[in-house]
Amino acid sequence: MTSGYHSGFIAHFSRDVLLHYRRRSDLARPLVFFIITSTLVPLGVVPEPATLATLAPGIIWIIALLATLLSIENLFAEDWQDGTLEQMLISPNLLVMPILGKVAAHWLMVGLPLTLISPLIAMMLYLPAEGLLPMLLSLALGTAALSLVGAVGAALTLPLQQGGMLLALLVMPLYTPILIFGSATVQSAIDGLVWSGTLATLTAVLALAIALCPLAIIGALRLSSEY
Amino acid sequence: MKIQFQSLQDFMVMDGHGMYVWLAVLVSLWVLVSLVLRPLSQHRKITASIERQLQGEKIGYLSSNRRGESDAPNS
Amino acid sequence: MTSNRKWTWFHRLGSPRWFYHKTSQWLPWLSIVTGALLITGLVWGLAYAPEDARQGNSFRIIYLHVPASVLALAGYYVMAIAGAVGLIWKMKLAYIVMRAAAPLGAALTFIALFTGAVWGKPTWGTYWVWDARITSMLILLFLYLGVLALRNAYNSYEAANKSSAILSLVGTVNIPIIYKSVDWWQTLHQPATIKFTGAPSMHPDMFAPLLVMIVGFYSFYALVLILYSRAEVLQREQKSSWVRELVTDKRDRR
Repeated sequence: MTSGYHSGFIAHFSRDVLLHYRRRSDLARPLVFFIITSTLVPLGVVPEPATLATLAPGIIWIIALLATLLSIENLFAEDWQDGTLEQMLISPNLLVMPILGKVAAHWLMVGLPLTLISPLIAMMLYLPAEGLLPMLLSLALGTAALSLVGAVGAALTLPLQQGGMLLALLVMPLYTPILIFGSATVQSAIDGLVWSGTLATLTAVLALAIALCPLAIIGALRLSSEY
Repeated sequence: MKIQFQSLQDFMVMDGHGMYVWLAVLVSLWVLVSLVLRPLSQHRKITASIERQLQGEKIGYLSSNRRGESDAPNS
Repeated sequence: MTSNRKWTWFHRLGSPRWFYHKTSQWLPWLSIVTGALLITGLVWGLAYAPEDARQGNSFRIIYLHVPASVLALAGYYVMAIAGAVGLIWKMKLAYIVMRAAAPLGAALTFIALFTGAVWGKPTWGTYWVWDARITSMLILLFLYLGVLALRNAYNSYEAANKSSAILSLVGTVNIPIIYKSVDWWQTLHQPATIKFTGAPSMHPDMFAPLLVMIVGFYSFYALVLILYSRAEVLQREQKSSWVRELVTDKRDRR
């Protein structure tokens, strides 16, 4: 039996990717949300290129953030209901790996597609060309951090009915640094400044999230399974 | 260290900034006072309700005793 | 049990009954000290401190704004540490203190925001400005409200305590990151702003009453935390014999 350090990660990662893939139609939802909500911006504000270009970095980031939030609510719900979660909790293996696997799967199926579709939104909102690469990189890293922190909220609100709005309220303050560094990366590039430093800070935040979020998630999941 | 204002009037007005300063002071004081009063009134209410409970138990105990039944001391 | 004697003081600390009796003795003194500090500091700052060259008399709001901000932030750490103690040692009293710290901290954050906004009008012309400090305070308020909301959402007392303890800890790690990021974000967009507290550059005659107010607010925080905790202790322990004795004693003495 191959049970290396990472086997728990790979096992749950592939399982979750497969589960997400089986419901392919659900995968489109965050993407459609992204596009539709971005359309609201010129409709609600003004379709003028100059204004939209100023707003674009922040708006794209905010909507990507909201799309991630909306999709993370049920991350653990199914596993909790069918007993897989309990199995995970009583298994003697390191619990961090399965959790990271689940969140990584979520990022792969939600965060990464959002990132890949962002050039389309960038075009609609007249994001200057210099901002495109920073946008892709910051979203790729940032959505991973958003998935991790969002998973903490999902774990904490797991036993609650209608935890969705509560989850959003809990997690939004925690999202602010990620948003700040993410959109600032894009904005700096547009302003002609060096943006690698800001991107590095975002990466550091992601690294911290990878290290610490699983601990909070485990605590919250244990609590939910007792409840 | 001398007092900065010539009269009470001056103190209230504060060269035009009085409205802001006193608004901030009064709202803050109101919040601070409420923060102290709330737990005190909670304390009083809880004590009162415990007292009532004890009274109720005593009466229940006495009345059941009178009938000559032995009761479990606590429920 | 290893080193039992060493840890008895710690576990005695966790006994709600011990806490209640000890604080009954401390309360009168603590109230006097708090009142003295706050009244002294406030009168000193409002009436005796010299007015600011640039901001005039409106700067006097600092004597409420800064202490409230300091305690709002410190209070979050108190809440988180109490939560951690509760999670690790399963101490009832720790959870009680954590529950008391939440509304207290939120109220102080509100004071900081309100006084900051009122101060902003004469200083900058608007009630709201996206200054780094104020924005961080606002996010801190959301963190507090989140803890309160999560606690209220759970029906089980134990689950509510554990989950809000975990959330407080997550918030604690985030707070330095949030403050740093907001600070940095602010410098991107407004290179030079009037800072709310030019503390190092403050004249000692202005700084001294501020110090008194800060200490006074710490004292106030301890006072109110104890008051809330005592009420909760009574509530949770009402079935126990020591509480019943306490209540009957009080009634008999009347």
